[in-house]
Amino acid sequence: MSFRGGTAPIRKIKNHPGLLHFCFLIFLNLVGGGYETLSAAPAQTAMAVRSFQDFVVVVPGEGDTFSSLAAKYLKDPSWDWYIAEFNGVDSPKVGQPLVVPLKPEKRGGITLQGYQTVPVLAYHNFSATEAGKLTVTQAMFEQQMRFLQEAGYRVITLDQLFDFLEFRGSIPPKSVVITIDDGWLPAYEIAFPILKKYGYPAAFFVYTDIIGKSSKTLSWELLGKIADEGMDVQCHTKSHRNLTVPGEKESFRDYFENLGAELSGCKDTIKKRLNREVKYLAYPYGATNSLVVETAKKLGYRGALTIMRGGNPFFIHNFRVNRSEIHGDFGLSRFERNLAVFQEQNLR
Amino acid sequence: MKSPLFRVQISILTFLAAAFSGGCATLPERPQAPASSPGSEVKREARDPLLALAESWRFKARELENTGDLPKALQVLQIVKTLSPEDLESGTRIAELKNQISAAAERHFQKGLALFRNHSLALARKEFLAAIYLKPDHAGALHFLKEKLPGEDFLSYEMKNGETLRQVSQKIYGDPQKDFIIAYFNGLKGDGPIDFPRSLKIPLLSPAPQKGFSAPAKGVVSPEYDKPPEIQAGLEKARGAYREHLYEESAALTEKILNADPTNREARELLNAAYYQWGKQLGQEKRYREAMEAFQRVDSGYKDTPVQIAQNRKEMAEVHYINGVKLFTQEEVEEAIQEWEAALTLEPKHPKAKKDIESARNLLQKLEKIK
Repeated sequence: MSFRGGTAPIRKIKNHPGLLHFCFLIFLNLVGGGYETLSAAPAQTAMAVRSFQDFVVVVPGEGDTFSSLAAKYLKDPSWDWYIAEFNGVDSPKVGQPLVVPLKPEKRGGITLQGYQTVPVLAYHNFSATEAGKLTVTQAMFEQQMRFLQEAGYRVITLDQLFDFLEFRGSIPPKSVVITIDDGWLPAYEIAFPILKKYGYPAAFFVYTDIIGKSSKTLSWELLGKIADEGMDVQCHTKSHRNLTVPGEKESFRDYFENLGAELSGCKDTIKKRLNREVKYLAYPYGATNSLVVETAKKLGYRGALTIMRGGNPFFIHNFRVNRSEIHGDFGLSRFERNLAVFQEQNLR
Repeated sequence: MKSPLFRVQISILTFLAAAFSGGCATLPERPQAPASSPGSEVKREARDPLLALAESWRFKARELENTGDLPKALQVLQIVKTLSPEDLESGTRIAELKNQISAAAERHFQKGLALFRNHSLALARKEFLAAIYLKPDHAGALHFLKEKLPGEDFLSYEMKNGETLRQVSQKIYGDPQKDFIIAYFNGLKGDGPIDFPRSLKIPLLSPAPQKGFSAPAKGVVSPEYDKPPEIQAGLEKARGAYREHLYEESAALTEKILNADPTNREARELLNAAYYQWGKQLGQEKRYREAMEAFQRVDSGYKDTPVQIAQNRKEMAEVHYINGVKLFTQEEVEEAIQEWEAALTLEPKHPKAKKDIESARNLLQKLEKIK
């Protein structure tokens, strides 16, 4: 039998993907043994599966998506991008076999054309209507979050980011991190509901001295609610002082002791009030130096973030992670300029 | 863009359909045992969808090899081999590819090491990246990428027999009383006994530990002070432009350096300084909007950047206000209102704009009534 001789049946079968699917299932039944799961009937969402040690071969049925395949075989729907990328197709097609590697890996997001970078967005305050340099309006924040969704960005957690930076874990190609600094009440009243609506995790970097101290700031109760909803609560120091500059009347020894207190005090307070481990630090004013970095490391932080604009390749210093501040007067195009996710470099 | 696999997926379908073309209404024949003749082999393959899949992925592996993407080619070929265990050719190619990949990774790594020693850090990074792409578990390449290239925040110091922490502190920091820092980071007590020889990790202090400290002391390794020649040259050029008050040029040169070396702290600092000074220069030239844009490029923690932005915004608002007044005197009332509104947008508490807008609108209403 030649390909040419088979063209007429092909035309018929192509018009009936369900039929093609059914035939493939029957063939899998007949050809090999030891199939882990095998659908015997041409049910619309059924999937033929042949499992091997490192991958499975699946034939998607009606309604299957990369996300559903990833959920089923990789136990995590967010790995959908990997199945798509590995098979080089934009969407699963009924009856078209796919290979799903069971140990997906793309550490560092490196390709022969360059490497992945992860933007980390830094917000500070929000307002219903009035924008300021560090205050973003509700409408603008909603627009920015919608833009992320529509443009196919994936919002990841700080843990995922640092797994990526430490070359341990892989993340989707268009990953982005959202952070909110300080601890102002509108972060809960305005930003939090929008983040929840889009299902985005975010890291709230608070300086503990202001929590619960005014009607304009977050309380520990609200922070607890935020954390219970899957958001990160992390350190922005105790008092928001510039960690790199000794006070005018501060001896160097006092400065060094106070530096330690700023970093450990914040960490301990969050642990005590929310019973959550703190691993990350956002430097007030983004200011850091070698002494601050080494002190933060010594006190058990996993990493820290500046406000240096730019994305983060996996080889960025864990304690000098770049963050791009989003200002209240940013239009969408300016916002988008802070979302670079790939740096070209020919690695051949 | 579709991958090579996508292009061959039509052929998979074709292949499968060809296999089914005996008629799906009736059950197909069970595949026969491999026959010795080539014709029988073709027939057997045509009936086995897994082998058809293997064939398409074999094609993909070849394409990947042709583009030089050896790790992906290997991964794909391993799938082929699993789908088609009797495929001896793939088995042989897998072994060859593994050797080829290991050798190429090592070549890139060694090249990277040589470049690193020559202080060509950006080029070294490229080689280490290539090595780690080929072999993601290449510990050496990862170490250089993550630890060595970004620069370390501490000095390594070998204490000599009998040396005290105060002496080391004097030597490194120019201040014996900072010995408590060395003790803290090395788990020592300032006046406690020390077992020799002893390696110390000593955090760098900012600004430079000692006045005129331009090179590390003997026995001290400090990558902080090593810069690759091309970065060094670029930085020097950018610094030169800065010294000559050519701040825009300095910023552009520094941005280029940061594109090649995103972790270069010195370039970051220079970029902030250049945009800051450029903003001030533009402000003095009364180019307030451009000044604001320049200051927006500066990290907000840098000097009094927020104050400068506010100042320029205020000046810009004043320009709009005065434009409005001029237009008003020329009886261009609507245009005057637009200017005053622009002033109010920039400076919501502008002392006169709001009042003048109200007066102008009243005037327009009256004129409308007269008409």
